[in-house]
Amino acid sequence: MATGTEKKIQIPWVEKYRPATLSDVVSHKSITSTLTQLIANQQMPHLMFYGPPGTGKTSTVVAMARDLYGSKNGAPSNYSTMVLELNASDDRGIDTVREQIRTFVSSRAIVHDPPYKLVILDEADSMTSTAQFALRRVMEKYTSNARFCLICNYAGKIIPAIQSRCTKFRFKPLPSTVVRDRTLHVIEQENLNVSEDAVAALVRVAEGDMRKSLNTLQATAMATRDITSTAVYETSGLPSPEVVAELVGCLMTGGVDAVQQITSTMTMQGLALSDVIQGIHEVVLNLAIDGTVKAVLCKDLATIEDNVLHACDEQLQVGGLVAAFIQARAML
Amino acid sequence: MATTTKKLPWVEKYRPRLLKDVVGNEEAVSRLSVIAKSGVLPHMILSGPPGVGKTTSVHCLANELLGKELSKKAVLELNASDDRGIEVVRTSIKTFAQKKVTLPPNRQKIIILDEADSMTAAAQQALRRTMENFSGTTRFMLACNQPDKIIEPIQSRCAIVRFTKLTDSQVKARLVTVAAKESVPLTQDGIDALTFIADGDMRQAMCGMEATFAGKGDVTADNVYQVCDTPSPEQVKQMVAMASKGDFDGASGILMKLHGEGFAVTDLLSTVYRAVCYGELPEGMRMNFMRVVAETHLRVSQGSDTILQLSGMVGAMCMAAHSG
Repeated sequence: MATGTEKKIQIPWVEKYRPATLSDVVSHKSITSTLTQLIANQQMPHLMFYGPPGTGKTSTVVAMARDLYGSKNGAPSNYSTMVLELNASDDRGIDTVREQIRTFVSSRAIVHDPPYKLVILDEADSMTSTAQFALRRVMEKYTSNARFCLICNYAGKIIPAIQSRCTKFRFKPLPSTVVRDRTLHVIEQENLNVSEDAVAALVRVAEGDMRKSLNTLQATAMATRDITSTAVYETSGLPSPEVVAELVGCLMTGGVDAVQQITSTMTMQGLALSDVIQGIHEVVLNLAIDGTVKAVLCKDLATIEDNVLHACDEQLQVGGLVAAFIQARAML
Repeated sequence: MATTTKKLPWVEKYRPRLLKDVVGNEEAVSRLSVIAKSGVLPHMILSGPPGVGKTTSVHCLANELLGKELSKKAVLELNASDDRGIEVVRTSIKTFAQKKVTLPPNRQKIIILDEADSMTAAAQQALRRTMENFSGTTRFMLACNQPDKIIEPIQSRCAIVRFTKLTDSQVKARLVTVAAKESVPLTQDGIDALTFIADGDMRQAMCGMEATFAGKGDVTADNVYQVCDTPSPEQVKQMVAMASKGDFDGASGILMKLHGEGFAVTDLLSTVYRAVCYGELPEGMRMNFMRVVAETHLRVSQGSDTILQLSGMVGAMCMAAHSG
């Protein structure tokens, strides 16, 4: 896998640099400090973490579990006996709740320091609602033996009965400074040659998703030695701001022939129309034109995006895109 | 939760025990009260949105008909956390229906099937004959959110009682009563925030108040929005007001900011929808805005859950505002 001199096995950097303890978790200081407080006061409630992907939900809970059950004062780690981790790849229908989870939480560990076990249900929003209904009894009945931590993207998909039994923590998208700092840390550790604008590109591509930033970085690093912003955009498959600016310029001035030009640019760079439209949308919002025209444009862009997602022919939709801009220009 | 003393959630603690204490839905509840007095109990389906008192009313009714002692023996309650496949209908429900319990004249055993819309169709099919065969001794009470998920043959065997959302003033009055009993410091804007979030769902209002009180101490609007974690309706209302004046830049700016805070597109949409419904808009424009929000919601639920769709929605709103 590795090009050149390195021969050792590469594990994904996302795993390699996953924080080991709660204090290593880069963001959400208010959440981690609350958790530390709860652990110190031995008042651990059931937990529910939710928020967009790559914001540190799983990292936080795994780090917390390590803090709780990891090897302390020479004693061996209890992690494997005290923590049950289930994610969407495991079968989590109602039978699992009735059998596996119940068996795990109904036996009690006496000797250990935190007197409760931890059940981590990752991607809990993909659990069926019958399984969730069955879970609520289990959660109440075995509170003295175990705590549950549910992780999900959409809080709305967890039934209210369970939500009301948990203390909820919302994980916001990470601020770009935090993503930047952590990315720079990894770059330093891995001895990479990364240009300044490439770092900015990585942060931009990530949109607050730490995992995306590191994955893009690793993928780019495998492809080339010198990491530039162009290389980053190429790897991620997203249009770079320059390309988008060029396309918008073409849309704002060109006639019907712009269709040809846009299609060829997209084919050359291997871009998807939905990504291009997202980029154009960002530019349009910041254009110095009348708000009414922007309103019309955004409405049309939204329609085109929806059409693309319904698997319409891309070439035709590009035509629609050009037409929308020509109409909007007539209003100026 | 760490303490060993078992504390009931307020929702359970303040659940009404008598029909006359049930808040709202006067018509439905008065029908049930008449049944409780006369003792003539048909099979029934209670349908309506969550948190409006369906389960509570059924329990109150059973209590008033049979009394506390008898209702232990003569009432069987099954909800979605119990297994309710066809096997259960064939075994436990049938066994219970066949069981002989000494009851006063003109009284029947009651089987409560809560959340009946989550029963499989096969189980419901198995139920229909059971309902008829044992109708001399046993009555069925089904509570559900969507009556159309109950198969036709069962609907035709039941009297249907519809429950509607509670009004804001009904929710508020109840919140104030409970707050006084639990000595919760309650501010006016806190109550308003709780009722806005609850949207006619008493359970949610109560849970929200309890969570805010436990987490923050004071029940103010800011604390409520923080604990219940919904996009601040003030900002969304401002966004709608801007859109109604055709100010695209201002309106989309607010939405971008809220989206940047990590709220999911669907959550934002439902708040926008409510702001449009209850906001101060001219009637024609309100209709137009509602249509726009509905169309956007359709797209979002079909998979286009991007920020661009929100922006397009604002665009369509501004255009509607311009054309009057």
